[in-house]
Amino acid sequence: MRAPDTETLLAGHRVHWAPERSASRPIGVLASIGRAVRVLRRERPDLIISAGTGVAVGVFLAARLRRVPAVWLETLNIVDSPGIASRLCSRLATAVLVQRPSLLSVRPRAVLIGELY
Amino acid sequence: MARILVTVGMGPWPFDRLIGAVAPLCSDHEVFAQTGTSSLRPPCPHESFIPADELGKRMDEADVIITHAGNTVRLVQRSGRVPIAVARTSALGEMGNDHQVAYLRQEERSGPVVAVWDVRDLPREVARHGERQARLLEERPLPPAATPEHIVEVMTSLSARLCGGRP
Repeated sequence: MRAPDTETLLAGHRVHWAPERSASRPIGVLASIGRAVRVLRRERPDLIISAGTGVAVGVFLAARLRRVPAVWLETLNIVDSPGIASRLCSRLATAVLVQRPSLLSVRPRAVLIGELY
Repeated sequence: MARILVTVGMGPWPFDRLIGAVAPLCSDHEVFAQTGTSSLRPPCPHESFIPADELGKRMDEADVIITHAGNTVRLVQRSGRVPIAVARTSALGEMGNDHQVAYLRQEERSGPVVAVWDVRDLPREVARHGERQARLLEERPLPPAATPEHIVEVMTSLSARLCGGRP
């Protein structure tokens, strides 16, 4: 998503901006898949990493279609029940990273990376 | 008079309840508010969104930081301060779910944070923040952050597994 903070943090990198999508609105998510497939076809990434939010759902579906491994990173402020985007993306992901040891019990296949900041 | 930074994060959800509650602080303090997509505008300097480096500078300069219960809470804590945090709630249309409520409840039990559940309490919390901050910093140490070496190790191992040996 284009915003002043993402623009400055990603300055100097090649970026494809995409609008935010609500994971609870399937039409918007479906519309975002085509865009994501085109980006993956053009960029041919070896690995995708995302912490969301809704815009990631279409990307993770496209990653499945293109057979690109995708890693879901659970944000630090998820302490129990995650939102829809998190639930969908962690199911679609090839691997899941968590920042809290307590989440390993509810995300058995997750890898603990620790607090990133 | 305190220098106060108010931030509601960079996401798409408005937080008019918090921005509206800032008004009483503006007459007594030097307040800057980052308002996001909120429709209300406080009677003090404000911007919808600001670059990350400007936000960091404003955090460094502030005496008190009032934030939504997002990841900014940890950023403020890592800077050695105690944030005053207000959780977005789904029932008020401030977010799609209540994970900020769950996060702030947990952080309130054990972390260095001042949780505000009724925004009318903000002026009182600001007035006594210096004393509470000192006590919370002494009593509630933060868990350590992952080291850069550990992050590189985890990501190298994971990418090797997922990418068929490619680094």
